[in-house]
Amino acid sequence: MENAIAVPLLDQFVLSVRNHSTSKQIDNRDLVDYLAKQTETLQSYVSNLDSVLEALDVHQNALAVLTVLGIKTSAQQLGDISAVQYHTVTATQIHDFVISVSDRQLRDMADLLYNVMKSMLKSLGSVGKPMFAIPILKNAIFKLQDKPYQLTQLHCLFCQACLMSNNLKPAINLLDQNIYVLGSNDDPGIIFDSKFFLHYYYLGGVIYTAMKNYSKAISFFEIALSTLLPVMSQVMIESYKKFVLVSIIHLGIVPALPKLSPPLVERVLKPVCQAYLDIIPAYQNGDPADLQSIITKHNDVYQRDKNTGLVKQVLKALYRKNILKLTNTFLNLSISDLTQKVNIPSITETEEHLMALIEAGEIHAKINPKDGTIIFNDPSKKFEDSNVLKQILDKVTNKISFSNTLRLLDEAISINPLFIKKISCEDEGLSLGQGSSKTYQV
Amino acid sequence: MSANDLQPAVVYQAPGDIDPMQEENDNNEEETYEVDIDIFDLETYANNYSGLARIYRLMYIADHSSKLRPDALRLAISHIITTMNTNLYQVLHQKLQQFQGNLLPDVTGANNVDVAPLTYNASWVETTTQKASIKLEKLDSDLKNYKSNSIKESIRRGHNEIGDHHVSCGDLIEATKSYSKARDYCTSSYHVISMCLNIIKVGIYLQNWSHVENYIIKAETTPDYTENPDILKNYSSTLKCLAGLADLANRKYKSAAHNFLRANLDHCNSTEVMTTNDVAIYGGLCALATFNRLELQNNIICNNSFKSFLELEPEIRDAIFKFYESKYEVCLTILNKRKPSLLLDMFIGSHIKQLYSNIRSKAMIQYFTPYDSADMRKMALCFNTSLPDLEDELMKLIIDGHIKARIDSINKILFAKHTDKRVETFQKALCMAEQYSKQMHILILRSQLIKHQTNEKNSERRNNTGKINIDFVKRTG
Repeated sequence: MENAIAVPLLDQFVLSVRNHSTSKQIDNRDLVDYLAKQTETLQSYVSNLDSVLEALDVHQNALAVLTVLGIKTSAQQLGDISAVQYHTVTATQIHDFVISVSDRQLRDMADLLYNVMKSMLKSLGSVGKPMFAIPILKNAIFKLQDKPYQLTQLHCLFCQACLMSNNLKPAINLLDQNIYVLGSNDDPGIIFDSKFFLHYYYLGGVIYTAMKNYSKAISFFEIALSTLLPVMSQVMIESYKKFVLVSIIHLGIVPALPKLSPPLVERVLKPVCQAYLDIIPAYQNGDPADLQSIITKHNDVYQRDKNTGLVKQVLKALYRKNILKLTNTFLNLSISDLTQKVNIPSITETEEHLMALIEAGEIHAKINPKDGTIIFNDPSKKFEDSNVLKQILDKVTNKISFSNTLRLLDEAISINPLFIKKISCEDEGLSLGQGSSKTYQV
Repeated sequence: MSANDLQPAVVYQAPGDIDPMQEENDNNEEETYEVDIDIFDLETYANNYSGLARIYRLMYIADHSSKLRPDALRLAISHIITTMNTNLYQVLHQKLQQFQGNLLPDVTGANNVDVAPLTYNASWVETTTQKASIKLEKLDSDLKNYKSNSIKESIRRGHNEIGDHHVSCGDLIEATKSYSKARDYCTSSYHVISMCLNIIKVGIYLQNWSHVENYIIKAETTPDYTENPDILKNYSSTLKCLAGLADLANRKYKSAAHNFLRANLDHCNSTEVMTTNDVAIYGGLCALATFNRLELQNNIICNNSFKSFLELEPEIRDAIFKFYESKYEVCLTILNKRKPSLLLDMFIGSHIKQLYSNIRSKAMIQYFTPYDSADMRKMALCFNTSLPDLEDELMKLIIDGHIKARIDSINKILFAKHTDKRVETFQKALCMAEQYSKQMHILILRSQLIKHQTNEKNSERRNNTGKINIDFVKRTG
C-alpha cells in the first residue's frame, strides 16, 4: 500500500530536482528553497529513499543527495531492519558520497554537510558505534581542506566522535596541526560560524587534558577564551573552569589571560566560576588540608560540572608541587621527614608520589630503601647534546613556514577589495602625515 | 558654630576616634598579641612623653598586657584629668571597671585600697564638659572678633587655639579641621610648617597615614624651607622622624630607616610623638632589618649624628655592632631581651615580629654567604635554635630564593648551589619563543574571527537593504 502512494511523489521529487540542476546550475537558491519545502514529504517516506538516491546523480544533484542522506540518517522510525544495521549502512552511504563528490562541491555545502554529519554522529552514538564516524569525518575533513592549516566545520565533530568513542589517538594528529585560517571557502559572504571554532578549541582542550598534554590543553583553552567573541557563551564558561583547573595542575598558578582578551571576559567569568577560583589561593598556600576542605565545600558544583576528576588531580598536583619544592632545597632527606614536611598522611603514599615523579622524569632522585632516605640529583639537562640543537632547528623551520603562511594571509588582506576601498577612503580624508597609518580593520 | 551644636557631635564620634587600636583592628593591619612582661617602669615611661602621646601609649600598653593593664589605665586616667577629654575618661573608666570586675575574686584588700581614689568622678565629667563648651564658645567669639578686625596673625592663632582645645577634648577630627583652617592665614614659612606639624601630629593619632605623608611633603616643599638654614635646622629632624614613622606604619621599613637616620639629636625634641630614644630604636631596628653590610657601615656605623642617638640606647647600638661583626648569637640575644618592652611601643609594636624575622633571616643569609658548605650543627649553635627548626627556617629561605643552597639533611650540611647561567638562558629563551609564537597564533585566529564577523555584518546589511526594498515595493504597490 505504502509503496504505491510513495512512488509517484518521490518520482516527482526526483524529476524536479533534475530540472533544477539542468536549468540553473549557477544559482541554486531555488533548489535550496525547494528542498527545504520537500523535507516533510521525504521524512514520511524514509524507507523508500534508497530508490531516490539511486535515481539521482551524485555529481549533478549533490545538494539533493546530501539532503536526502541527512533525512535518512536522522530518521527515527526504521521499519523492519535493526537500528545498528540501518545507521551503519546510512553512514557508509554518506561516506561513499563524500568520496565521490568533488572537493569544490563539498566545500560549497560545508554547512549542510555539518548538519548531516552531526545527526549521523548522534545516530551512531545512540546505537553505540560512534567509532564508525571517525574515518568518515576524517576523509570529509581532508576533502574540505585546501591547506592543512584550515579549520573546517567538521573539526569539532571529529573531536566529539573521538571523545564519544574514547579513542583519542586519531584526534591528536589533527589537533597537533596549528590552525591559522577559518573555513576553506574564501568567497566573500561565506561565513564561518564562530561556534565551530569555539567548539573545536574547547573539545580539543578537553582531549589534550585527557591525554595529559597539559600545556597544549592550556593554550587551547586560552584561545577559546581570548579570541574576541561578541557574546559570552556557556562553552566559554566551561572552558574557563577547565582552564583554571588545568593551569593549576600544570603550572601551579593561573596565568592571566593574554592581553588581547577583552577585560570584560574576566569580569563576566569570575563570578560564575567562584568555586574554581577559590581553589587557587588554597593551592598556593601549600596546605593540603586547606585545599581538601575547599574541595569538599564546593563538591556539588564540581560534580554538576563533571570536573571532579580534574579537581582530584589538583590535590595530587599539590603534593607533587610540594615535593618538587623540596628537591630544590634538599640534597637528601629521610622519607619520614619528607612526609612530615609535605603533610602527606602516610609514608607509603609519599613513596608512591616519589615513584610517580621519578618515573615521569620530573625529579631526578634515588630512593634508598635500606635507610629510608631519598637522594636528589641535579637535573641532567644541560642543553649540550645534539638533540637540543635538532629541537631548536625544528622549531625554527616550523616558524619559518609559519611566517610564510602569515605573509600569504597578509597578501590576502592587502588585495581584499573592501580593505583597499577603506584605505583609499582614509587616504583621501587624511592629511599627508597620517596617510601611512593604515589599519587592517575592514 | 555654637558650642551646643558641637558637643553632641563629639560624643557621637568618640568611640571610633579615640581608640586607635580599634580602628587598626578594623583595617586588619594589627594582630592582637599579649605581652608577658614582669618589670616595666610605667611612671618613668609615661613621663618621657607629653600630651596625647602619654595617654595613647599608656592605652596601648593597657591593651596589650594584662599584667600592666590596671596600672596603665590608672596612670592614663590620672593624666586625662589634666585635659578636658571627658569621653576618653569615661571609656577608660569602663575598661578599668570591666577588668577589675573580672579579677575581683582574686584581688586582695590591698589592691582595693589602691583603686579607691580612682572611682568614677561624675561631677568632674560634668564640670569639665561645661568648661569645655564655655571655652569653645569663648574661643569662637574671639575668632569672630579677629575676623571682623581681619588681622591675619590673630585669626591664625585663633584657629590654632580652637584646634588645641579640640585636641584637649579628644576630638581629633575637628582639631584637624581647625588646624587646616589656619592655613589661609599663614604669613611666613614658619607658620606654614607649624600648621603642617599640628596636622601631622593629630593625623598620627588618627592613624591617617596618607594624610600624614601629604602634610610632610607639604611642609618640606614650603618655599623657604630649603633656603633658610634656620628653618631647615629647626624642623628637618622632626619632619624626617615623622616621615620615618609614616613609612614604618606603611611597612616601608627601608625608607623608614633612611628617614630616621637623617634626624639630628640637637633639634629633635618632639615629646608629643616620640622621644629621641624612640628614634634610636625605630631607626636602628629598621636599618638592621633592611640594610646590607655596606649600607650598615656607611649609614650607621660611620654616621656621627645618628651615633649620638644610639648612645641613648646602648643595647640597640650593641646589637647593630655585633651584627656587623657577624656575632649573630650575641646580637639576637640582645634583641630578644628587649623584645617585650618593644612590643609595648605603640608605633613599632605591631612590626616587631616582622622586623625580627627579617633580621634573623638576614643574619642567616650573611652567615652563609662566604661559605660553599656549612655545618648546620654549628649554625644552630650560633642562632640558638635546634637543628630541625634551623632546617625549617633554612628551607623557607631557600624556597623564597634568599639563599641559593641545598640542604644535606642526613649529614646536616648546607651546600651552596651554583646555578648554570647557560642552562638558565636556554630555558628562558625557549620559554620566550614559545610564548611569543602562542601570542601570534592567537592574534591570527582573532583576525580571522574578526574577518568572519565583519562578513556576517556585511551580509546582514545586505539582507536589511533587501528587506527595506521589499517594504518599499509593497507600500508603493
